[in-house]
Amino acid sequence: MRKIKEADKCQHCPSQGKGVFCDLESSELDELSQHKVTNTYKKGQTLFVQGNHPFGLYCINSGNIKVTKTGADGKETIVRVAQGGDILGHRSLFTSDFYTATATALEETKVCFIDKKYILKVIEENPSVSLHVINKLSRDMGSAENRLSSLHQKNVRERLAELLLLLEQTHGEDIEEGRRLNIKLTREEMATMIGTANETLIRFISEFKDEGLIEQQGKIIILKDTERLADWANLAY
Amino acid sequence: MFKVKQMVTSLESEILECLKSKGEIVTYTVAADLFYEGQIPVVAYLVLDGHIHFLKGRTIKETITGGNLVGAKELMSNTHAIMSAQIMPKTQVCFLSKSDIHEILEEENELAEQLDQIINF
Repeated sequence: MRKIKEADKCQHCPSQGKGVFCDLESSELDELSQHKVTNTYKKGQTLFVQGNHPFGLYCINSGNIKVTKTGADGKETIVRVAQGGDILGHRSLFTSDFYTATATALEETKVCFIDKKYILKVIEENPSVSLHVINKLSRDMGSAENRLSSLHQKNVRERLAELLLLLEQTHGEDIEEGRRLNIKLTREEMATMIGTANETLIRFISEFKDEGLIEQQGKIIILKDTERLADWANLAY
Repeated sequence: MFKVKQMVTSLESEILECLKSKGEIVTYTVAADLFYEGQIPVVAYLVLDGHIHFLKGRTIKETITGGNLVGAKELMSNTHAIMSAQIMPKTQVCFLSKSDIHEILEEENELAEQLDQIINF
């Protein structure tokens, strides 16, 4: 009745070492594997929608997911991009509030779901899981604080440079030409991440290209000079 | 009901009342995708009131109302749904998670027996 594919077991997760359950013993991971549901989401499919009731925790196996908030005017703002090893829905789970954001796959993404009752039992029995969750929450809070201060204190050029460096940290890969960002975001999505209009973002991307800071290969951005980008972002790099 | 029959079980009111007490009851305020074609539902949905559409691509193939259990078999056997399910606003459902279903099955009473039959049908 409860068969699970070997490849879907937590022990074979490509994000092993980055998730909240990584300190669990093999037998505990086996039990967790029996309780979870693993699904693949295609680009544009939603995991959960703002305003709906939370009933568990989503743990990203591989791929990227955008977390967006929709305002009263219907405009969508990307609050963060989650990747392999990240968890989603944990805040609403502990507060029992409705989801305050929507999670949508940016590409084909594999995600595991663990129901509320079981996750609370795991947390109760394994302090290491609680510590990892606290660590994730603290990082999320730190990122939110940085974003808030950036939106207030920095101009669009600085915010764009900062965003590129942030994406470089999470999705960057060394290639001959520089650092390639392994994430495909539309101009509109990037614009909402730094709180500006599409046209303004396009103008600054052209400026960055003209200055030799970045290069584009289709939707993929390559950072050519991260040190100068850090100067432009007005941060200590 | 075409192929939806495989994913939906119509329940007698007695079983429905018993199951209702085991899960979490929620009324959806906005429409939402419960699961997509080819996925495993993350919980089972006991529909109490309102509507759930079953879709193949973007075409609605079937709509179900209160008194039906959706996705329990797929959830417990880790099998993929053959259609997508979309819940409509103001629909009241009771969520039954894997843990809830395990708990019911472990009780070894009449409800456990009936649920076991539904899951293994």
